[in-house]
Amino acid sequence: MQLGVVENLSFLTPEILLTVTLGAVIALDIGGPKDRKGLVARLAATGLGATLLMVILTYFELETKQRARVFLFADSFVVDPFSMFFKLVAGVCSFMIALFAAKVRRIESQGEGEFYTLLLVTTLGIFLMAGVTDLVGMVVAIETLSIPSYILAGFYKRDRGSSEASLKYVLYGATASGSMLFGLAFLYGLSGTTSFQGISAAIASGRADVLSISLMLGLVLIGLGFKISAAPFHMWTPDVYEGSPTAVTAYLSTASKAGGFAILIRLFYSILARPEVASRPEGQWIPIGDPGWTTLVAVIAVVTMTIGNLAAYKQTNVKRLLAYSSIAHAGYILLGFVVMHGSGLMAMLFYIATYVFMNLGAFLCVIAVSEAGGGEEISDFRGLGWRAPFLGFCMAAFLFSLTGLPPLAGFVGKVYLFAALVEHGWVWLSVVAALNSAVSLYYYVRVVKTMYLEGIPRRAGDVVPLRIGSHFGIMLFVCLVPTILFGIYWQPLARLATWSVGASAPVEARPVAAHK
Amino acid sequence: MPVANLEWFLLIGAFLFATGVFTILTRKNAVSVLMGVELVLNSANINLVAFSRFVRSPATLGPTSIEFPLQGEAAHHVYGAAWIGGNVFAAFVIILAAAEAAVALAIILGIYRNLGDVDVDEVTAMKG
Amino acid sequence: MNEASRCLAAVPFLCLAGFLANGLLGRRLGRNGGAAVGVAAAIASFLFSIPVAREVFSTGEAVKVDLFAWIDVADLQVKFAFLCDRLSVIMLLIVTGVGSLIHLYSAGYMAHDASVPRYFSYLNLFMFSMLLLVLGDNLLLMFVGWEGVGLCSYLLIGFWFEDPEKAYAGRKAFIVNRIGDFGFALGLFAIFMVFHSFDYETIRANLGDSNIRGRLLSTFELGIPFVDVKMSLVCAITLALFLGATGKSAQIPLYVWLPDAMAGPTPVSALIHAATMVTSGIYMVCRLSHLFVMAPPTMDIIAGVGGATAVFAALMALAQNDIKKVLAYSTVSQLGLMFLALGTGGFSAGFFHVFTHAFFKALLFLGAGSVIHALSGEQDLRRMGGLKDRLPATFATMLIGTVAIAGIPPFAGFFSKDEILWRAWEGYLTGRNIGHGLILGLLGSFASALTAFYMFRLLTLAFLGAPRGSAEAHSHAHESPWTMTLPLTILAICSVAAGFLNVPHALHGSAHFSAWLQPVVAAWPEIATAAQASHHGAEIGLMTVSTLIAFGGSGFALWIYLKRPGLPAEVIQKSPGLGRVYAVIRDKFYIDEAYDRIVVRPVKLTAFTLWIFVDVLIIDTLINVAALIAEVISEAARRLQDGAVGTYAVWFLAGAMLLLGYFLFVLGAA
Repeated sequence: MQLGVVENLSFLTPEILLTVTLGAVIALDIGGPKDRKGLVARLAATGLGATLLMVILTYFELETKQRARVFLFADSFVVDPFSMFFKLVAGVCSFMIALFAAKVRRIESQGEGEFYTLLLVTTLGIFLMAGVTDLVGMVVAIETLSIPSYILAGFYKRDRGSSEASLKYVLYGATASGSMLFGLAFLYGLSGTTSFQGISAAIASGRADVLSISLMLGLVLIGLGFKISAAPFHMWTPDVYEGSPTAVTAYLSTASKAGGFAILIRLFYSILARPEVASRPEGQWIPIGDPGWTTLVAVIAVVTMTIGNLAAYKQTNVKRLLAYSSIAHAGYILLGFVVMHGSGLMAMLFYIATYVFMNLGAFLCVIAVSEAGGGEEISDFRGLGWRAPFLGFCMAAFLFSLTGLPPLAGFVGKVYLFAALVEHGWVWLSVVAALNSAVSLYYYVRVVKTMYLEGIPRRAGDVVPLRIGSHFGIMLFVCLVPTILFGIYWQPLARLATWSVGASAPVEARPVAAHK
Repeated sequence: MPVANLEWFLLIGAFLFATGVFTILTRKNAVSVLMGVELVLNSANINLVAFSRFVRSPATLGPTSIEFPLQGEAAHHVYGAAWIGGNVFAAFVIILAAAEAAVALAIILGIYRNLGDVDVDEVTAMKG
Repeated sequence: MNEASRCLAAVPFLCLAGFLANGLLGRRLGRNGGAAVGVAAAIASFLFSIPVAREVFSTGEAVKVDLFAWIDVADLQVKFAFLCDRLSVIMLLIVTGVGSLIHLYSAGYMAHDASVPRYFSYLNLFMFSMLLLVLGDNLLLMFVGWEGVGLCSYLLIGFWFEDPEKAYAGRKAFIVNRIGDFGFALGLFAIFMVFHSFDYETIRANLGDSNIRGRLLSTFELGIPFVDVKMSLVCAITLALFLGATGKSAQIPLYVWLPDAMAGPTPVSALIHAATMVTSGIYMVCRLSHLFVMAPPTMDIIAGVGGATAVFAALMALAQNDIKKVLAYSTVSQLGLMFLALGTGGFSAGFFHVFTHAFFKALLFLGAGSVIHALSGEQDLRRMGGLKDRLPATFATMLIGTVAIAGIPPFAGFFSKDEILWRAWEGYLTGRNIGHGLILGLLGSFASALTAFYMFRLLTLAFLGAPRGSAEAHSHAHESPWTMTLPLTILAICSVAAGFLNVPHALHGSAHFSAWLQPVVAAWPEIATAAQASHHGAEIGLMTVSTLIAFGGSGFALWIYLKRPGLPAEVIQKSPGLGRVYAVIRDKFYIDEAYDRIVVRPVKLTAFTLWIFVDVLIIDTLINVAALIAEVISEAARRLQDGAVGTYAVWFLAGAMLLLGYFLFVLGAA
């Protein structure tokens, strides 16, 4: 698809808009009026909203023009439905975070200009991660996400927990990306090219040895495993999630993870696999060389979800509990990765989209409670179902959805994942995953139980209402609607995910273009 | 004088990498750990530059005429330095490493201010 | 999509919007706002159903609207679509029309309650579910509505959940309905296995398919030891579905929840437990009438159960002193009559009674509510009396309702009941099936006689004679506000007029209603339908007898309770035998106690035994061991996570080594 530069750039409108917003936020923060309370937040949220709109429009444009993908920047960046799906998810997350961070008093007092600048940079990083098809671009994109995230984790400068979180995050992250870079250097050395498709072509033509490439991809897996907090590279997660400002935790556990999955899928599927029928990426995929790496990922998935669920068992802090829960969910999502079939990828996308809403919602409840004067310990949630009925109901819905109970979105997501597994012979894996969800019921329900069955008011007058404010109420509702809706009527999302996987191989390579 | 070939550079890279990992594992001072990380990053850089020097791009040659393993300096002169992907890569990594180091140092400074110590094994308020 | 289908699509969602508004913003809306939103949603849905009804009535064709593909997984394809045909349009009008009136009435009745928005949100949600039930174009959507109305009923019965007895009534309704729903779900699965579809249209079209017919009629062993019973598949399916209907429509053996359901607010009893939800079983049988008539044994069971329930419940209504309980048993009895009609193939007759019953029973309940409201919560008939002059509007409308339900011409109940009785007696009168017809006919007529009696008993005890309650309560009694009397008046008018829609041929009427439904329900047995045309004489004779019975029952009640109020007590005193019978009836045949002995206690005992042996000894041990293991691993994982960066680095390295080792050794070896 050869297009003029300008026409090609039109597919980058979301990224451009995001950058412009970023510039405007910085300018306003530096040169704006002194008394500009909330102005930066509004500007950033508006910019993100507009970006989201552009993402949707670009999505439509791809569909209406029947264009599977558009390559940009000497083939190092691609705009295709697959990347747009992740941009949509990440854009929604950032937008929501920007909206509800605006009402978090502590962020405001610490300097909201910095917060929104960093938030916008990370969002840009995820957008790049979604579309990048080149090793250099990949490193730049990942670091564009990571470096601001380190700062965001330590955003409460005077807070010990926050500083500790950012220290652990930056040391762990830097080590992980160092290992990844070492592996990437070898990938380049072994194949002589930095483009994903080039590496794949090098393997296909026998120039590069599959085993060596796999070995180096193993090193890359460390870096990506860190990003999605897969075991055994998950250990930073609970500490960082607990210590960071909750808005940042919510962001790290949703958008940042989604970006990690986007690049994980694209990298591995374009280098180590190809679709059985070149034009049908939604069908079966064939591993190149030895398929052993799928087994490895399966084992990682199992270990990840089991550790996450079991360690969550005895937690007393809601944020930490949700951190372990998000580790477990990374394990569930990885299940779709091993199937080597479009249905597995589709299930991953579907699950990520639903997971984002329920997880964001759960963290939002935590924020709302602590902003209303409550705490972050489970015991602080006693009787919350009576003190703040709407919030209690929402939290219960999010937790049940995370468990995977019908009729909520999490249930449908799990059904798609497990169905894909069973359909392609991974029965043992689906059994382990189902057992894991059963275990997870225990600790999710514990929170719900605390909210509803403890601290029950004796008389109607005894209730001490916890007012969360309409701002948080509306945001909770926005998360609640998809959590319930996709549990009852999930067809549109399923179709979107299927299309995003099937319209173009996320992954499948265009033949290597000759350099002039 | 022995001709420096790719393996030598890779060995240096591997040595640096191992040193970096060793530093990360053994040092308790956060700044030292950070230095270990820098070693790891720079080991990758050495590899990148070395590969850039020795590996011919398949793109410049077309897909058919390449054989593996890599060839030496003479071949590089023949085909020219049209392919500098590794060098560009290394340049990016240097920039990113600098940014990362700056941020990490600032964070360590923050820790020092809050805790009066930069021993990473003492920063364990959150666990379990 | 034309205007009618657009309106049809909007009808249920208006109620949903009302539910959301009240549920989410209830606290903001406050009492008056909540009531206004709830009533507006109901009335709007009624207004939107008018164009739909006009379209259906003028063309006779169904109005359809496809909203979206709901489930699309391999073999299972279900649309989220609404269908308003000749059958559902009547339900649509009842639900939205009577529903709107009851919403309006509730605004007055619940004005003093603490949680008005919660009440209206439940009521709107009920309307939404009920509309899904009747408008859905497939069985799955009906099932969703079916469960939805069950949930709302449960929530509304236990609306005053602070009172443990009322909360218990809610739970009882819930559990009994679960049993019925189990049958319904079973029937649904079986239908899907046979037809590979849930669509009414597909199911009906495929009934003609010889393959499917063969499968339906194929018999299988029931597998009961020592007894050789065979049953056709269609028989099993329809029986399972009928079990669902007995749960929702309160028939033997699952009727026990309905009288207790009167614990809810009175307008709820009128809407859910008299006019709409309880008739959904009948709607379902009519909807699938073509399937039911393929199983004559099921039809006989339906007729028998219906007839027995009609008499049984009417007997119990005789001896109740709670005004709402009388009406509750009366509802069970009338529902029994409807099933009696369905079981003899009188689908349109049964459905016509659904239609007229909706008006007069809602009217009676609302009237009772008005009385209770006036007496500040008094429900005992023995402490009422003499309210005629205090509540003139309520009395006048209640009188109309009573006359209508008693079956006195030319009120609505006469026509609908006449049709049912003709169906019941038909086998006997035409000599086609004498024994069958005689039993069902006697059950039907006896039930009508009892109906006339207990309804006039209620009216006399409440309104006529001298006041028996405290003078203070009596003097405080005042007529209800317009929001309550207006619905009463409208319903009274309907109770008078509705019958004329189906004046039988025998009286030189044109039986509009039956003709209207004829294309959508099954005609069975064919002889019976034909017979009606040639037996006008017999039909008129039956009508005369029925009318005499109705007058007799009413007059007897008036005479006893006005002239000789002491008579029942005297009779009971003089004849110990009759006294014992009375006691049995008054205590509702000890059915609740019997259920307690036969079902609840053994279940509890078994559960206890199982709990001791299986649960405590085996499962608990297993679970404890599993929990212990989980705890140990959990503890280990927590220890691992000691917060020190050094430890994390070690594990990081170990993980990396494992990863690379895997590639080197496992893949390298391969």
